[in-house]
Amino acid sequence: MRIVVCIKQIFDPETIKISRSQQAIDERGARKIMNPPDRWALDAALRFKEADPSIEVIALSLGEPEVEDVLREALALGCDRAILLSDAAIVKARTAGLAQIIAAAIKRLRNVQLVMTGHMALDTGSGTLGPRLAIELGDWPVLLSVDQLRLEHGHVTGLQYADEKYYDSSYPLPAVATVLQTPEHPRYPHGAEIINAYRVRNVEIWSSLALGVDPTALPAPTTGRQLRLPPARQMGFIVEGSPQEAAQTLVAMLRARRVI
Amino acid sequence: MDLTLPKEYDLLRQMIRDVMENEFAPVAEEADEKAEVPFDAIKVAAKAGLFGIPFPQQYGGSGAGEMGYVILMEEVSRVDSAMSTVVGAHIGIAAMALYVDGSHALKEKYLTPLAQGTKIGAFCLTEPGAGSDAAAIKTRAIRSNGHWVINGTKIYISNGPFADLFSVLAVTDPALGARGGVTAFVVEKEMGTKIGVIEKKLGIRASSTSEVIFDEVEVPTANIIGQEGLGFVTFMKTLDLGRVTVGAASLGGAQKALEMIIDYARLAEKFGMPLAHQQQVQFMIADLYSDVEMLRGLVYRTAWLVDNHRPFAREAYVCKLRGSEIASKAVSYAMEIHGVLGLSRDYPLERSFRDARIAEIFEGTNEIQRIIIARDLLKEVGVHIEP
Repeated sequence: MRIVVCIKQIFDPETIKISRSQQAIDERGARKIMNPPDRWALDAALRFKEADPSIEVIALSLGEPEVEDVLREALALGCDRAILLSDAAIVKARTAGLAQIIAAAIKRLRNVQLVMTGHMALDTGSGTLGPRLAIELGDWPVLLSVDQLRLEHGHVTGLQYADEKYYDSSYPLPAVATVLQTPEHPRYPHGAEIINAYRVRNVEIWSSLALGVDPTALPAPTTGRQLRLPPARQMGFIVEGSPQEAAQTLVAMLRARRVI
Repeated sequence: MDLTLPKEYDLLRQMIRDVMENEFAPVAEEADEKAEVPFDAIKVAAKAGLFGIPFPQQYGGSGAGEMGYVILMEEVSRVDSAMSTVVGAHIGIAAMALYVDGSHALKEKYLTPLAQGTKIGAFCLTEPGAGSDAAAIKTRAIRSNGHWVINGTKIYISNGPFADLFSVLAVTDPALGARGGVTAFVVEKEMGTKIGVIEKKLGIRASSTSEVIFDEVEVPTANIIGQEGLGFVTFMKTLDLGRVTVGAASLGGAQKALEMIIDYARLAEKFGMPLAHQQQVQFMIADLYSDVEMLRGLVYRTAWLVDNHRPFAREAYVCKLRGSEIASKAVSYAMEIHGVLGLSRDYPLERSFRDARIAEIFEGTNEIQRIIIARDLLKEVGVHIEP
């Protein structure tokens, strides 16, 4: 069986700066990295492959040719194949259109039983790709924000995180899973695999034509109107008095503001 | 002329930086304090291939060449200089001796586990009477019943206390001396090497340095690296390569000190404004940045010379000489700017300060480097100076 891991290339949040106008992100000098939650998803997929070598793990990404770098990294980490969906029409796609293109690629691959990705993209804060893909693939079940993912008896099982609680979940394959970042650090690629990822191995490039997607029929992309920083936080204050007095004062304040 | 590094080196650097920051940075202070080698972190580093970066994949390495190796040393040293000594002694001289002159069979047997990091190597040259004047070694190897018996004591051996394999230089024909009478061997710990005094050191404390004693150690003839009698040449070729990476490690150390200076100058306030507003601090930052960039250019160019099979020995001497001096200057400037904080055991600068000094000493003192550079230049105009 095949597992597809969807990987996004993002600006390293530690290297971007806000422009002086505070209206845009200054990308000069910023480094591009693999979206960290996607790295955890990839790590989980590669663990499945270690347990069952018949599993083929395929990394998939979409965008400008430079996105190839995160796919080379995925190859270095141990993926069997890496596919970049890229052409002039594809790079313009956003959200809903993007899910349609990726779903078309997954259908073209055949025998894909599990699609995995990070629980969110750290650049946009969006976590909609997983559910959107599940719909496009024909209402596959989806595990959202999941930890301790397991494959057993044709089911995918794990702990879904929602509303500050974990829930045991299990769905029959094929399915989509979006993976949480956990404290254990994902694997490091081996030096030799890094060298081979660039000098020996290939990233396949698929165009919209190859996917049979009509770029003019894609849903209109969402557009940004304005970018601005959140308002600066106001200073808090300290409620004085003994713990009992302070608690009473605090409760009175919260009641007065109709918070409780 | 294209001076951009191929992209695989960016990813390699990123991986090494991740390993160093995640695995070594959190334990570096304690390892220094207790003078203990961080073996758990070393296991992770070995699994990622860090102990065989320059060597061919055929022998368990990464196939990243000297360029990959200088990037490794730069990034290792940026986080933990003591580790750059462990890695440098292992790859740069112990395994490198096997790589430069070992037979295919010897490389398969010994270079492979070294490159994989499943065995750790040490380079045994220095003796009580032979440091920078390496030709004066006394350790003796005598042929006996189809093998060799080695007797002698090596001192200041980095990785000595925990190494599994030793690249050893011994006299096989005292009459010929360094010109045909010295042979390089690879010796397994199990063949009977003993560890003598373990040094208590000022710096690079998380690396371990000791005497290695050879008392009637029997070594098979097959374990000769290169040819009998030509070991001095093998070891000198190895040290030429090692010097490039002392420069690379110094580059990482200097870079770290520069980052610390800029960070502190930005945050610390004196006379009502950040230190960065003081002109003398700006001068220090500018001078140091100039030195670091110059060193980076030199180290990378020398690695390129090595990988492209061009002569590089003179450049390598300059890497070691200027690199170690720039690293010392960088930590010295950092101490100047940090004031008393620089001396605090709770702040990482004093560790960098203690660690930097060794680079001016080991792998041939800087005085030796100067003599060799000068003589090499003078030889071109017909001036020959004998030792």
